[in-house]
Amino acid sequence: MTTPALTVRDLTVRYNGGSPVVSGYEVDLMPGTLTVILGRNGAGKTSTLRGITGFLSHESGSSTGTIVVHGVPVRRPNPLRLSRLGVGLVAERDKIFGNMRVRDQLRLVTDKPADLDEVLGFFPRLAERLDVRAGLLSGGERQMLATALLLLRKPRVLLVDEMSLGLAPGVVRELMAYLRRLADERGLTILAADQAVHASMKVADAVQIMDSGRVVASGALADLDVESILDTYLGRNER
Amino acid sequence: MTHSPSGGSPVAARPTRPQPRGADLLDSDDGVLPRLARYFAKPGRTTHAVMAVALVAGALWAAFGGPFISLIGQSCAVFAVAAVGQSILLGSAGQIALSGGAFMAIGAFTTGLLNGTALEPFPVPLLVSLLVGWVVGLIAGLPGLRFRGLYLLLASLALQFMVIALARNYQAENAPAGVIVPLPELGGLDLSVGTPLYLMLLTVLLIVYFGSWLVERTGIGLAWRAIRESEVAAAVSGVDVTRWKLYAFAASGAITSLAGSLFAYVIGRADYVSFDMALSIALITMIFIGGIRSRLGALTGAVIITALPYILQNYLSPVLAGIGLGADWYVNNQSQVNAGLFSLLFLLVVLFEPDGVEGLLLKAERVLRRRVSGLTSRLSGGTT
Amino acid sequence: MNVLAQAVEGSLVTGCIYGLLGMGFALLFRASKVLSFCQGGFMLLGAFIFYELQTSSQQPLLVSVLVTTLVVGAFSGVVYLVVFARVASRHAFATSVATIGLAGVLQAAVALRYGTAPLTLPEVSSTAFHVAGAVIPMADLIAVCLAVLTVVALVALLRFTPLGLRMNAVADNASLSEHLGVSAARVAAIAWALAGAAAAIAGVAFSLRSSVDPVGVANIGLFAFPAIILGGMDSVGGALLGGIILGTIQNAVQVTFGARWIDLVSFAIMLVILLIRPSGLFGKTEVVRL
Repeated sequence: MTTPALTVRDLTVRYNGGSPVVSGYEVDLMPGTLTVILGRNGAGKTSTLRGITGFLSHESGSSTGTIVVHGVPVRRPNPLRLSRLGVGLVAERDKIFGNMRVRDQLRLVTDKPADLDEVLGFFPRLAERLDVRAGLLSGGERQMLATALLLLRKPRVLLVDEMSLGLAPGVVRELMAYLRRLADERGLTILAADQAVHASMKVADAVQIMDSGRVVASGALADLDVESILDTYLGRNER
Repeated sequence: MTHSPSGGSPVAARPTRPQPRGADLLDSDDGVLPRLARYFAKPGRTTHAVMAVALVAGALWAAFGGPFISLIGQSCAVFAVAAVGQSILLGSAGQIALSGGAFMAIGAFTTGLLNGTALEPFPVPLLVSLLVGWVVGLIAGLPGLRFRGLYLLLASLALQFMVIALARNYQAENAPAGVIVPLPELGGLDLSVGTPLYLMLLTVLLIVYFGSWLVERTGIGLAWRAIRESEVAAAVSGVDVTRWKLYAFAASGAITSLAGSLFAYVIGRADYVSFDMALSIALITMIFIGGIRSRLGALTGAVIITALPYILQNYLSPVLAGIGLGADWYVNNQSQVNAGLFSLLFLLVVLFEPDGVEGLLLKAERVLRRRVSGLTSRLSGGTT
Repeated sequence: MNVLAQAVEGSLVTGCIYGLLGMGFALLFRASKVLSFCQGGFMLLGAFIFYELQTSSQQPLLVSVLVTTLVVGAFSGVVYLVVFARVASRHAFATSVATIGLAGVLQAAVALRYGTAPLTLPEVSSTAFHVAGAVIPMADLIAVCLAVLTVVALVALLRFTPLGLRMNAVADNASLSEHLGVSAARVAAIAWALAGAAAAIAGVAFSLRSSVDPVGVANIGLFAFPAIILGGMDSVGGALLGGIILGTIQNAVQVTFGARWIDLVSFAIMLVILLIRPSGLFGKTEVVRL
C-alpha cells in the first residue's frame, strides 16, 4: 500500500488565542495527485495551508494537530523544517522578492545551471524576463516565479494558496494546466486552495470543500455531486 | 472579555441587563465578605489591590519616616507623575516616545522663567507648565500623527535633542548655574523643603492619578483604548482617531511637563543637564518595569527605579566587601552602575517580560487562582 | 591655509565617521528590521579596545585595527544571536527599543572599566599632507581610507557575493527566504557582526583624531542618526554620503553661528527629513503611516 505523501489529522488553527478559524481539518494526499480545496472567502483555506507549513508564528497564530510527510511525523511545523522535508507553499501574498531581479532570485535557491535551465524550460515566459525586477512582473508571471522558486527546492509536496486571485480567466487556466503537468510529469503531490471553481475542477483529482473552518465535503471528483454541494456552500456563482 | 465564574459553584441566576463595572459591589444585600469575594473574583483585581496597598504603605512611610525617607519619597512622587504622563501616550496611542526628558525640561524652565513675574505665586507656575506642555504636546503631535513605531521613536529622539540644545544655549547666556524657580509657598506655609514639600507633591500626584483614572472611564478613555488595540478598527467604528491621538500627545506632554515643574521645585532650579537622554530612557524604563498596562504599573515602576539607587547604596556595601570590590565601590561609581543597571533591567524587561512587575504579579495571581480553585473543588468533593 | 578647503577636509572626516556608523546600521536594519541604537556602544567598545591595544601592548597599527574590528564584530554577532535573535524575528520594534538598553549597558561597562575622564592616544604620526591649502594629518587620512575601504567592501559584498544575495533576500522577504532554505537568523547575525565591525572602525578612526570618553563617544552614536536618516536607513552607500553631507552642514553651522547650534540644526534637519522624505535621499524603506 502506498504511503500518503502528506497526512494531516485534526488540524486546528487560531489567531491570538481566539476561536478557531480552522477546526479538525484532515487529509490524506496520495503521491502524484492534485487535490483542490474550495470554499468562500474566509472559509479557512489559507489558514489551513499556513497551519500545515508553519507560517503562522509570524502572525500570532498557532496550530495543533498531526502532520506526517511521507511517513515522517512533524511535531512543530515551521517554514524551514517543512521546506527541508520537501513541502513547499506558494503563498497568496509576498510570494516573491519584489526588489530583486528574476535571475538573482532563482540564483538564490540554486546555482546549478542544469536545475535552472530545467525550471526555465517549464516556464518559458520567465526565461524572457530574467533581468526584470520581480515587482514589475505581471500577476501571472509572479505566480510562475513563485512556483519556480519552490520547484528549485525539488519538493515532493506543493501547497498552492489562492493562485488565481486577481488573474484573468485565461491566465488561471494556463496556471492550472501547469499544476496538472507538475503532478503528471514529475509526480508532485499538489494541494491547492482556490476560489476558481470550474478551472480547478477541470484539473483536480479530488476535492475538499471548506466552510467556516471545517471540511464539509470531500472525495474524488468522480464520486461527488460537486455541483449541488457547491450550490449549497458557494451559492450560484458561475466562475 | 469573557467573564467566567471562579471556583466550582454555579453562578446564581441574575437578571441579564448590562451592568456597569464595579456595580457588583453594590447590587445585592449580601454581607461585606461575600461582596468582597465577588469583587476580587475578577482576575487582575487582586494584583492591583496588592500594588495599591504597597504604594500607599510606601507613601505613608515616606510621610512619617524621617528626612532621608522623605527625600526618597519626594523623588518618587515627582517621577511617578512623570511616569503617568509617559504612560498616557503608551496606553492610549500605543506609542513610545523618547522625549520625556524634553517635556520635563519644558515644565522646569517654564517654572523658572516665571520667577519674578506676575505669575510666580504657587501654584500658578504648575498650571502654566501644564498648559505649555499641552500646547507643545499638541504641536509635536501634529507631525506625530504621521509617525508610528520606529518613526515616532526617531522623531521624539530629535525633539529631545532639540529642546535640550535650546535649554542649554539659553542657560549659557543667561543663567549658567540654572534658572532659579520661585519659592513655593501657600498661605504662609513654606513648601520648598521637608514634609510640606512631600505632601504637596503627593497631593499633585493624587490629583493627576485620579484625574487620569476618571478620564479612563469616560468616552475619551474608551477611544484611547480602542486606538491602542487597532487604529484601523477604531477608525472604522467611528472613532475620530486623529483628534484623540492629538489629545493623547497633548495630555502626555502636559503631565510630563507638570512633573518637570515639580522637579524644579524640589531642586530649586532648572538646569538642562538634568533632562538629558538618560532621563528619557529612565522614564520609559519606569513604565516598562512597573507594567505598561496600567497607571498603577507606571507608579510602581517609578518607585522601583527611583528608590533602587538608595537601597543599593545602603545595603550593597557588605555584599561588595564580600566579593572584594571594596565597600565604597558602589558609591564612587554610583551613576555609572545605576545607568548600567537600569539599562540592563530595561533590556531584560523589554525582551522577556514586557508587562513588567505587574505582569509577573498577574501571572502569580493566575497560578494562585488555579491552585485555590483546585483546592476548593477537591474540598467540596466535586467531580474531577 | 585655505579656510574653505580646511572646512571641506574637516567635513569629509567627520562625515566618514558618521558614515561608518550609518553603513553598519543600514546593513543591520535591512537584514533584521531592527533599528539599532547601539552602534554608538559598539563604536565605544572599539575605541577603547583600540586604545588598550595601542597603549599597553604596543602592537603595530594595522594589527590593532584588525584585532579591534574582529573582536567587536564577533561580539556584536554573538550578542544578536544570544540576546535578540528570537525576539527580533517576531517583534522588530520591541527589539529596537531593547537596543537602547544594550547601548546603556555597554556605555556603563566601559565607564566602569576606564573611568569617565577623556583618554588620549599618542599621535599616530606627525606626518601631515598639504593639499589645496588644507592640512591633512595622517590620522585624518587613515580615517577616510578606512571609511572608503569599508563602504566599497560592503557594497561589493551585497552586490556580488552569494552572502550578499542572501542578505538582500532576507531584507526583502524574511519568511520566504526561510522557506527557500536561507537561515534568516544566521544572515541577520552576520549583518550584526559586520555592523559591529564597521562601528569599531569608526571608533578607531575617532580615537586617532581626538580623545575618547564614554559619554562623548556614545553621544556620537546618537548624533549619527541625522546622518542615517539623511542617507536613508537601508542604504549602505547612502550612509556614507549622508554622513558627509551632514558633516558639511555641521561645519557650515559651526562657522556661521557657532558650535552650540550644531546639534539643534542637525536634529531639526532629521525631523524635517522624517516629515517630508522619510526614506532619506538614497533609501527605499516604506513609510508606516495611518
